Amino acid sequence: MADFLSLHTALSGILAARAGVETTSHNVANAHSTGYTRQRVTQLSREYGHQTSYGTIGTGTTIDGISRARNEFLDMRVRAGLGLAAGLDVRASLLGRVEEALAEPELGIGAALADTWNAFEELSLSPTDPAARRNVIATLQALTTRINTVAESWNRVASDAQVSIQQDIGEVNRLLQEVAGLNEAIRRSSGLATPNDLYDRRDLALDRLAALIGATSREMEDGTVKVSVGGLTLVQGDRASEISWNADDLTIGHVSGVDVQPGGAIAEYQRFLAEDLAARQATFDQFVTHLVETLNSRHNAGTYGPGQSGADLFDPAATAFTLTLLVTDPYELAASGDPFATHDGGNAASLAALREEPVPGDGRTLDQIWREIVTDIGVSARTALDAASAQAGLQSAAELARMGAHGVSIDEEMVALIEYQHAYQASARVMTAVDELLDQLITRTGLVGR
Amino acid sequence: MRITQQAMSYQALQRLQNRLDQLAQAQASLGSGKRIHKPSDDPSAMNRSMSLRGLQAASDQAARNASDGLLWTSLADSKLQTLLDRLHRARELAVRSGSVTNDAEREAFAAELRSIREEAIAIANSKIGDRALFAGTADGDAVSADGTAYLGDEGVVERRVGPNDVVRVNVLGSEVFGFDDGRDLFSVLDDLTTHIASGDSAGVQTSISEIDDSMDRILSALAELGAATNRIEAAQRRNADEKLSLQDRLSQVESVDVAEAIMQLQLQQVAYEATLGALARSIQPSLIDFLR
Repeated sequence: MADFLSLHTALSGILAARAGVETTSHNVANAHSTGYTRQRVTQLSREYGHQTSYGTIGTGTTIDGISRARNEFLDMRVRAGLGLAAGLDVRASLLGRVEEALAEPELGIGAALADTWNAFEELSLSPTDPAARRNVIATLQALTTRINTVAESWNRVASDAQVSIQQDIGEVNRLLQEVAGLNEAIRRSSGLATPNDLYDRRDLALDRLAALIGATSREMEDGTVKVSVGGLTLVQGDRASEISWNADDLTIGHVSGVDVQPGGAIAEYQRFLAEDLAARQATFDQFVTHLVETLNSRHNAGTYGPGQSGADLFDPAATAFTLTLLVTDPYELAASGDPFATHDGGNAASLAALREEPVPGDGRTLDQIWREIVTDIGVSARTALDAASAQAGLQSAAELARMGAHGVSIDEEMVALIEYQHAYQASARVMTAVDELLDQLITRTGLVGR
Repeated sequence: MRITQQAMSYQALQRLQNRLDQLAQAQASLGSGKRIHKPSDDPSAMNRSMSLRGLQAASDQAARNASDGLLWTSLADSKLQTLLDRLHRARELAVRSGSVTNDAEREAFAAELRSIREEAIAIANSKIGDRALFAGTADGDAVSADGTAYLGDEGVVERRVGPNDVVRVNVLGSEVFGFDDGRDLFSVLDDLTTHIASGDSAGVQTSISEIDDSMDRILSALAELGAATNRIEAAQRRNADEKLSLQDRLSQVESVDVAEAIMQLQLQQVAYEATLGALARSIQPSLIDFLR
């Protein structure tokens, strides 16, 4: 009886070693799969033994399960950072585009302003020279175009941000569905065996959700996770709720009627549209208003031809985007400060003097106002870049720690493979030994006196 | 900490990426010679750079204004010098006319004086570009063709030759030729011609003193022009100095220190190669290489 038992004991060792080799090969095969967590066979000695009068003899090993080397704390750390890092990246790249549109210092509005003042001053030298007049119109047109171009590029950044946020919201909805589906699959199968690879896929989706919208998750007792964003639950069990982007009021809607307070990349798109860009567009428009008002009133004060007053140079109600030059006929430039003096360039000189004159009600010159706008954008972009690269460093440390804990080490797997191989060989040897013992008993015994 | 192959290659790739990024930056700054390409590279330097560029543009324009101003003052100066010469000649003729007794010679004097008067009118109507030099800001001639009326206005022509430095570069025909004082140069010459032709020596004496007055007016205009020229030339020198100093400051703000940039590039290159070498060594072996 005991001999047969030993055969089973050896068999349990062989089966366990085989499971070990299979798990190891699964690990090696997935060594570079995204989001894969290494798995281990957990082996325990069999709990019921063979009772004898002198004690209990063990009956081999049993496979307790295939465990997954997942560290929840590392996941939390990585996910918290993922949202931040993705958000800062978005912010840095959006502000980068805002400042690129300025084309300062060489081809920007600053240079166009300087050209304009020079053109006016040149006109004051020879007020009746058609070339000087045409030059003023050309530089004013260049200034207008540059202002329009910056405003247009900023609008394009805004519309691109809208498209990105729309796509990201779509992806978030898809991921929420996926997590809900995986929740369901995990709950159904967890009674039978641990569905490790489903967990991996769900963790991958949760990582992505953390980066996109700063989602946090909590594991429930039945193996499902509850996903929430800004305190609002979006996935519970097998049910996910949709969110939607309202492009007009820049909010994210939810069936509950409460606006979602996002994190991650989406939050930064939203913040950029609602605050950063809007504020800058407002100061830019303010600058354009100052420019239009001062140039118009100066130009109105002058005369051209036989005593005609200067018209508005620019459309008085213009924003940066709609700014248009109204005076396009060089003849109509009011260069003269004296209606009866043909060769007077006094008004052209006084237009040129705006180079150094503070804007009424503001105290700064137009050049200064523009410089401050550029510097402000530069500082924000710099800050965003620095924050993004600092966060990227932190993030890569967290990612590395998690990769170290979760990832597959080929060396380790090779060691495990050899261990399991040896275990298999040893168990087989035990089986052979038992087989020989039985052979002894069956074929060699009972032959006394033959 | 547990380390895996994947973590190692991840880390190595990131380091490589950082190195390559720094190498690219070092290359870009050396290639363009510029330290700042966009506002975020150094916002405060960008602010200074823009303000310096603005000052540079203003200073370039001031230089152009100054040379245009010099054109005005030097042209007016040479024209008035010529006029002064002609008046000296007229005065000489007037003085000499006292000792002349025959009519033919008096007539010759009168003829020369008439041509001097014509010449004076031509000088008074000198042009600078498409406008009259002595007509203020009015269009057309400064003096009517017969020399009897001033056609210009009292317009002042000024040039900004530096920050807060505005120089007047024109003199008005009405002042220089005496229209304002009621005794204009051309009627003086006219009267002198008549007096000489008619042998009126008392009249000639009056005319001589009137010519002296005219010459005084021209001399004072020349002094004014000389002072303006001096101011403009001083401004030009200041401007040239300032241009250099602006260029210098701008390059301090914007430009790359080439020696340092080359050293940076070299350092980054060495670091990049070292990272590549370390990566190649570290990712190659695994236990597999040593298992039979």
